[in-house]
Amino acid sequence: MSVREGPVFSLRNVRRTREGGGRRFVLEVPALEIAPGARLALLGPSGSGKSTLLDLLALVLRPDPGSERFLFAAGAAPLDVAAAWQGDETPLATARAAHLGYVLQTGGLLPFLTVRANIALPARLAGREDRARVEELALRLGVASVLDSPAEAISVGQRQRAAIARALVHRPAVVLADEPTAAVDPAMAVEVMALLLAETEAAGAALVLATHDHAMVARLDLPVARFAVADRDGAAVAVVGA
Amino acid sequence: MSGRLALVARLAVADAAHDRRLFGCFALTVAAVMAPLLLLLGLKTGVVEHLLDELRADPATREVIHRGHRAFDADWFARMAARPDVAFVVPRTRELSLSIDVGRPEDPIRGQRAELVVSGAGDPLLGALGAAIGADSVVISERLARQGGFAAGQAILLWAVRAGAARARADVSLRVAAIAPARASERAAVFAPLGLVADIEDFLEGRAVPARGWQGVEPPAARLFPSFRLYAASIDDVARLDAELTAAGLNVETNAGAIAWTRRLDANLTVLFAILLACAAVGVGMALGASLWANVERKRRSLSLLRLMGFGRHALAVFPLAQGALVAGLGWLAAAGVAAAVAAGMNVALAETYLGGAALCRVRAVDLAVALALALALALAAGLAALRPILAIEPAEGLRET
Repeated sequence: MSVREGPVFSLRNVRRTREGGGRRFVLEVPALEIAPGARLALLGPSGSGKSTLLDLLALVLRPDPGSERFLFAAGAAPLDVAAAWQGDETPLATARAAHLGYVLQTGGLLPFLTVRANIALPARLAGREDRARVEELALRLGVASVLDSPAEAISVGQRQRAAIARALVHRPAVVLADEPTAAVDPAMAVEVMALLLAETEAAGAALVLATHDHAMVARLDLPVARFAVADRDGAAVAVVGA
Repeated sequence: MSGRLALVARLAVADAAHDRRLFGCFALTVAAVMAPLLLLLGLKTGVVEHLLDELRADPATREVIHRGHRAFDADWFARMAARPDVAFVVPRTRELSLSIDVGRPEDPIRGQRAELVVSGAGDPLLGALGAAIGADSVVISERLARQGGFAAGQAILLWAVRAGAARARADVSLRVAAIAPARASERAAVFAPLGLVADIEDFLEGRAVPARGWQGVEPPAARLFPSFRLYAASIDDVARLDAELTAAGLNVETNAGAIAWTRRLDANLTVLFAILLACAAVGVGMALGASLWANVERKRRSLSLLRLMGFGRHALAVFPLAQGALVAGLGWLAAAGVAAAVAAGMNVALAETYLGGAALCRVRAVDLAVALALALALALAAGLAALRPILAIEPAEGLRET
């Protein structure tokens, strides 16, 4: 893992407006930088804008025109995300495939593949297939015994752990996790979180975690990005602050 | 990029394998339509080919018969023989003077009356036997062989008797090269080279043939023949020859009508089949398109996850196309198997009754290949129906549980 000097994400005055249900919602990011290997919890209740920010960082949501700076610096050359959204989306898809890993609420495994094929898929997509790494991650995450089971046949806890393996298999720069413990029981939640933190750290990946679980964030002593929501000109405006 | 497309195709196949019952049903839908069509086509081929085989097997089908007498010179025969649509053409001599006698060399008195027919290599009536005809060897008809007790390889004596004031007899010693099959001629006939026939005709007409030592008047410089025996190269050349010779003022008879009828039957059955095929293709295409579309909708969550993971919008288009091709391929495989088995059964059970032993249902390899190509093309077209929904899938959908 090469050591990067600058931040992987660098955002300045990025906005995203969402219309829905006759109400306007605006997320404003005055300044946000995420260093390589850093951890950041996006903490807030539903509707606070943490999902919007996670989508922006996941490179699947287009920022409003006029954003001052939105750089993603994981590859050889930094990707100007705001500019990439103006063209065809190929550079964004390529960046997602090469440098981002995702852990979703219920794992988001493909039901028609085995656990092994699910874990291996991002590495295959990135052209970095590595059987030994799949086995190793599965062993560390405790899903080695179900590697050849259909993804839909394993328990929810196993799914979340397999999803962590999948998010890390292609050695991404950033892992994005969206409420990764929402679907498991409290005991399992502690275990899954501990594994997620340990493995992203071992892989040297930054971790951005969207959650509403204040207690967990406090217990793990994670750096937090908070969302201050205010009413401005009839629109709900959420401002991200460190 | 191509590796990524191949990966999408493999995921599409994995998805189909996971939903194998559903996709099995899709494939059966294709097979259920394709198998009867293949059998229908096989029956059409069997019946039409049987009719054409019968026409082709009988050289008489290709014969152009000239009624009447004209004067055809050597040039005319050379021109006709050079045409690619003419398989065989030889002169026919004046029929009344053709009768000769054939007997054993040791008994030059009692002969069998026979007719003399100009023949040679390539004569469709004789097939390969025609090549055995030479200056001193002839082929005789089966009836003549029976009447005279002649066998192949045997020496015979052929003679002609000139009537009238210059009454004389000409003898020619020959060898029987072969006995023609019965279908070549029902009569007692000698298939002989043109030179021999021309000499005997000259003799009978009272002209001298110095080469054979036959006395008579001086022969004319140029020889003209009153008629011809002509066979077209194929059954499809008969109509043209008929038309051209008729246009040249000759009175000819051919089987052009029967041949045209068979061809018309073939063409009409082909049109009928094409209409059926088009209807079936539209039906199967729509069913397959709807199935693939529905599968994209059902797999929307998985597909959006793939988009989230970094598969490009257009790369995912391979997903329904690959599944369509898979369904078409499996459907074709099942249909080909069923059609081959049913065709074989039909041929065993029914061919004896209807076509005298010929295969009633002929499912040809080329038909199977075309069926596969059509099925794949149809599957791709059906896959295109699923393109709009699949291109509309956003990666952000993959992040949210909906």
